Amino acid sequence: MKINIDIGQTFLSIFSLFIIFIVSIPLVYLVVRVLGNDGNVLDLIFRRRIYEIIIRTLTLVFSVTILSLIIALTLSWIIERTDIPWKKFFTILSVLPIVFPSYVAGMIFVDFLGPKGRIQGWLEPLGVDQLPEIYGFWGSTILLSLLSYPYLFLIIRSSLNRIDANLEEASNVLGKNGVKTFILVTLPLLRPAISSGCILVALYTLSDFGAVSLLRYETFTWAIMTQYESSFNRVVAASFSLVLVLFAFLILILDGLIVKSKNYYVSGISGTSRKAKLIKLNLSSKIFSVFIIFFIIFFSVFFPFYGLTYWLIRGAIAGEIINFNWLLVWNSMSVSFLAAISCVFCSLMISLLIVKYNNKIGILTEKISYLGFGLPGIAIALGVIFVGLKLISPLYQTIALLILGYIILFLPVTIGAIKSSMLHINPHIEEASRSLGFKMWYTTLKITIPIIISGVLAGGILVFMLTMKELPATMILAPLGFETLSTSIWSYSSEAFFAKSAFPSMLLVLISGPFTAYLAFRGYTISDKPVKENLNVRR
Amino acid sequence: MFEDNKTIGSYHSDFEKEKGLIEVENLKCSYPPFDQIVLDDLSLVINSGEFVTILGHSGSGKTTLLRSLAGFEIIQEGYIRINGILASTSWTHLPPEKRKIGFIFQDYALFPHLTVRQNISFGIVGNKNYKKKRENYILDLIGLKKQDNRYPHQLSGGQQQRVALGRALAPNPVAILMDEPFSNLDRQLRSSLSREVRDIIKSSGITAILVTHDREEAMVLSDRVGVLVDGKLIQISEPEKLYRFPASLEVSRMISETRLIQGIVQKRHINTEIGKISIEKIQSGNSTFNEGSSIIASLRPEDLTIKKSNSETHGTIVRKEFSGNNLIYCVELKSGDFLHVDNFNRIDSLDEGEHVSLDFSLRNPISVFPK
Repeated sequence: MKINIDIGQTFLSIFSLFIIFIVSIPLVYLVVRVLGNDGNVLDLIFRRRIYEIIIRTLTLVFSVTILSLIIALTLSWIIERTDIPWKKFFTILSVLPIVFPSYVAGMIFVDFLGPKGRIQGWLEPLGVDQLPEIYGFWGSTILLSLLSYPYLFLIIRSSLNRIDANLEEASNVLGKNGVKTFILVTLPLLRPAISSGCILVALYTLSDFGAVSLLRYETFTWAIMTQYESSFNRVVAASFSLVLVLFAFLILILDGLIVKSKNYYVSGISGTSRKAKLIKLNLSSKIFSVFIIFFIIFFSVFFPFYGLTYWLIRGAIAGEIINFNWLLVWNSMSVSFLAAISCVFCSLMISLLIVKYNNKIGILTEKISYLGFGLPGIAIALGVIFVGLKLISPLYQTIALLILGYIILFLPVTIGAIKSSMLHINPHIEEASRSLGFKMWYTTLKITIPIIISGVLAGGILVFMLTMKELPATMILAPLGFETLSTSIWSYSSEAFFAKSAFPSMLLVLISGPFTAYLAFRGYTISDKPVKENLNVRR
Repeated sequence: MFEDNKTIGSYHSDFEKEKGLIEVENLKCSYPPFDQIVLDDLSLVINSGEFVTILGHSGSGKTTLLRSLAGFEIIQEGYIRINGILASTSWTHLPPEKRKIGFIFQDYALFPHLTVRQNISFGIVGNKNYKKKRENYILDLIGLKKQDNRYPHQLSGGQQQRVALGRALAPNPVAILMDEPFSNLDRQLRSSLSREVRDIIKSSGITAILVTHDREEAMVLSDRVGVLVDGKLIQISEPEKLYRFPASLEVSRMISETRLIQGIVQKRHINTEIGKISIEKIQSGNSTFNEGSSIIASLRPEDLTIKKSNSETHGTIVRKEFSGNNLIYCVELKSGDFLHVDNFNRIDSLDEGEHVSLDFSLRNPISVFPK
């Protein structure tokens, strides 16, 4: 019996070591490659231009985070704390922007709001011959904020709901009015939620490629892609990626510092506490609040949907749907399915090692896999390409390498979901089944699997959805001539063939969107630990 | 709105004399979905500097009473006047932050992101110098000077309780309201800390209202105790008066351990299954009883004695419970009623199944209520 366990554990440990190797080698390789090169590469990347890019990237990350925070705080406060009507409806709509890949939203944004865009065309008779410039910093800030505030909204909302109403009442009775109480008590209590939500948004912005390149704002991701596509010396792209990775690490470290030092907040938020009473608004403030919500949702949800539908109809008239290459859907779905299956398989092994054996290697693997969470897809893809070229050249230009990239990117999603569902299994349940006379395999079939299946499914589905939408890594790692929905949308939209891209975009939103939104919603609201155990995109 | 209220209350004059005076008139409070009435036509005057406890079971409305005094709940009918200022009516509502009242929550509701000192400082108004002085004074008062830099989660339950008290006292409130403040503490700590809290509050001369379901706490701590049943204040009086002259069976049962026995009113006495109670030993409050009417007599544990008997028996011991300092027998009477009888001195221990005879040993008048 004892020997059996050891064999299982040994096998799983070896498997985990292999995963560690796979996950970390691209990054290590990037470092080795850049540092091992002769000095002039370093000169190259530390020329004046890189400082510009650093500053641009950081201002964008900062401003998007701030704007998202303002939007998210406003929406969640209005929806959770006042007595406005249609709360469910508003909540769902507020989360919905999550379904738009940034390149799809960017495309619609440019097409409609561009200086000579569609809206300008409508306004032409009114004497408007040019709309304000949307390219560059402001356009990118607004677009990315509208796309990423839902992450913050979900976290803040659930945290706001769990603040003990007594704390705010205690502040009232000590002489502080509503505004003072919000600043002195509510906001500090929300700080852990706000900080982890901001990290999500910051990482999202840092790694976004689609929106910034459509809006021509040169950040790291765009610079990396241009370097990668234009020059033969890929070391520059690799060096840029490394700097990007460095920033991602900085953000994660910052998060660690903030959250660790503020651990005591947890005691102010408990599951059983009384909910705050809703603030009764008079009619005019009610109308104003609802107007604010509609104003945001108009740009973040209605507008993209309207744009997509508009182009879909235009495309349909032009016969784009008939000519549509259905192979793209098959390609997208098959690689996404493979990615999901691989992630689930690896996560089952690692979670088993952690939960069943409490094995150190397993725990280390989980920690290292989190690299994929924080690091931009483009950097990981470049690392994988280098490894593919030099170490495992037979895999270069194959689907396998693409799947490998996806595994590195999305493994933490499934590990999180599967591990936490395994932790729900009380070991006594399995023992009870055994003591009632059932064999091990029967126990596994009847007890263990039903308990973990929802976690496995949730994790797998989320990876499937994320893979469907993923763009930069897919562009870099897909074999020549292998097109997916996302890469084809990208190639159409960057050439401004909006009508051609509308149908695949709509397909993508309809296939992956609702599930993503649902899972994100569920992950944030049910889980007691909104940051660590949710099934959401980046952390 | 504050100014308005002030003028409404201003003819109540002489502010200082009324500092801490709380008047509640015909208060009615109900909760929206089904307009379920929580407090019904409740009137109450609490004098300044008085320590009053409202005793009630859970669901009796005691927390709602406290929360409407603090301004957390809006009332449907009646008035609440604090310090002569009209604080709540059905048409005006002074927000909690303007009532100058201290509130101690059942779960303390200490701000988890602030230290002990910062928690205490939270409500103090004044310049830096004054704030510092006041903080130090309060820290001394609650004996937590050394722990002033700790966060709430680093404190024990009793220490958290003290911080809650300190925080409520710090802004110099006119009154302090306490919602079951000792219920989260273990028994021993509860009795010592509650006395300490009472002493601190008494020495500051602040009006205090405590709500609890613990009768011992209520009796020991308070100048007056009010009994709240189903949203109605049935009786409010000094603890001893309440104990000796309960207005109803409910009050009697709520404030002390009772032994109930049925009886019939006769001319000079009451006939019960275990003997007669002479009319001199009875106080019936305001109610009068006709001859022949059925009543329930409420006895104290010490009013009954028990002894083994073979001839004239009243019942049989069906169970015996050992409760530390005495032994309680559950006796099944011939009528089928059960009566608990204490054997305080525990001499000649009796066994289950034994036939016993019971007797009265009345020192104080007992209360009688209609059946």
